[in-house]
Amino acid sequence: MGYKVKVENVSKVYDLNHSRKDKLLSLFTMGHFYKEKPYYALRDINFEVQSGESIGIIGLNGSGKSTLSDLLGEVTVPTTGKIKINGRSSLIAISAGLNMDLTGEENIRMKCLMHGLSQQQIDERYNDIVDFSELGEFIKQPIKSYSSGMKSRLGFSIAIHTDPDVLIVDEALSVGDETFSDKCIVKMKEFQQQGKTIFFVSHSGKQVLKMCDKALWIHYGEVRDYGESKPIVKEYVNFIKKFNDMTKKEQLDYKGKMISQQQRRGEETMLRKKPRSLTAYISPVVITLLFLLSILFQGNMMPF
Amino acid sequence: MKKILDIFKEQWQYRYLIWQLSIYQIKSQYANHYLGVFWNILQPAMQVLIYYVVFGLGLRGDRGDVGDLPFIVHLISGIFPWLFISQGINSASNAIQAQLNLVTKMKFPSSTLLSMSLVNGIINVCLTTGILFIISIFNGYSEPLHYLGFIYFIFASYMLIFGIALIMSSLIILVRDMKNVLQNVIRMFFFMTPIFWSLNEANEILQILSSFNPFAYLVMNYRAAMVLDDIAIYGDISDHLYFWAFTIFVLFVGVHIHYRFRNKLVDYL
Repeated sequence: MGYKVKVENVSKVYDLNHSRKDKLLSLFTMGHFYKEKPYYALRDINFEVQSGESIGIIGLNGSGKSTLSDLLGEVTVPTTGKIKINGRSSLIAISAGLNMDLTGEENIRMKCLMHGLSQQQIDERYNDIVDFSELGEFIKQPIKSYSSGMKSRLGFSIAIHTDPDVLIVDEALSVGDETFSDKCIVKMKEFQQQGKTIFFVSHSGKQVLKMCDKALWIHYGEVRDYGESKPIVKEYVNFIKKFNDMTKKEQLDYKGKMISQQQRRGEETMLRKKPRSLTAYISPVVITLLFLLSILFQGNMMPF
Repeated sequence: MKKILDIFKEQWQYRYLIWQLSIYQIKSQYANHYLGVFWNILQPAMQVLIYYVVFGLGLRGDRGDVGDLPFIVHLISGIFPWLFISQGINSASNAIQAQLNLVTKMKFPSSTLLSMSLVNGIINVCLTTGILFIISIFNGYSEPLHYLGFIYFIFASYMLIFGIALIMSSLIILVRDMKNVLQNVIRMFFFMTPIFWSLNEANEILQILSSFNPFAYLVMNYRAAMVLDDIAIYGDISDHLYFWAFTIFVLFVGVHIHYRFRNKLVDYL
């Protein structure tokens, strides 16, 4: 025990075959007769997080930050490897699950239910959520009349009051004005003191320094560095500066080189597909036979 | 097989959530309506009226009763279960697609969305069946114990609709055209199922086709429970065997597609 989140040898492979036919084939044959065209988004990620720590996930665009945050929020599953989370994790998704026709109040109750809170817990927290969102009288209005800022304030305050053990914040602080985002930061600091773990996804080094005591630098699908935030962020900022000083062509060349390297290494580490055991075929065969038999029976076509 | 049990365990585990959320869904559906939930009765009533005029007064003419039943009773005992089945399949098949931004951004058991959309249908069919129940009691069409067959009808339809919706809900996300295909196939089955016509009076070919139509089995079970006095549960051994073998087959395919799909939903978009 001891850890809050443990990520072991996690890789994520996306399938780039975007033609509909291939997707359908893959879905119906359960992966038989189908060649994937893989894209290795994350390769062999390992790290461990203790409770009460907050981790800033930094990296360039397309380096796999969002993939990692989806995996940590358990929205998708890793292709190989394991993610162990001690408790409940929640990815802050501001507008997900809000219903435009319902009032703010009903939306609060509905989304809290979706997060697995009981009716009693919702009653206890309801006032806190309304206060935090600063919506006042508007809470009784259907949210289609809200401005976009109001919607995200509502979404954020619901998400932060659902009391997760692990909170994943993916570029969510761009909502609202400065005072509101400061309020969010204060709230998150409060979370840290309660021993909760926060992942903070960003490409701004400054925000990470302000918020996090550790940093995880994802570089083209791999962990480039993990540890105390100060030195890593400094190194990251230097790298960005260097990257920005390159000419457009050099930048593109660099990206191309890194991505092809990422794909090559990904291929090497991926395990070959395990052959399926024959026992997996028993129940589909039995059920199909039963079905065919019942057709014969129904049509009075039994041979006996 | 284990996966089939798993998915129903999941429905049971989240029953409270399913119930609460489907109430919010109904609320939002009728948010800007004057008549609100009253539409749940008004809509089937209008359909019955139209079909009665077209099929009863028009097509059937003065042939009148079906067996011992007035045609209008025969008609509503077919339309009420049919509306439940067809609306159930349509709404449950679209359930995941309608909540796509929820499922791709939150950890949420997406199979419960199917049950959620069925709760609305079950409430409706209970309301409409209440009306038929009063008519039936008043005229003494069915035996008191036979009404329990209604529970069997709900159970059997839920299983079949859930299985079909498991397959279709994934397919519709991949290929949007399936939504239109599904609607048209369902409309076809409306005519292929003994709803406004009677199985006993039908041509032999139609009878054989109906024996392979699982919806006919369901509708006839509803009738047997609500308005027919000779049997409580419709069908002989081979009918039951066929229906359940079909349902389990559909569920099996659906569950595998669903589990394969839901872990990779984001990848498939």
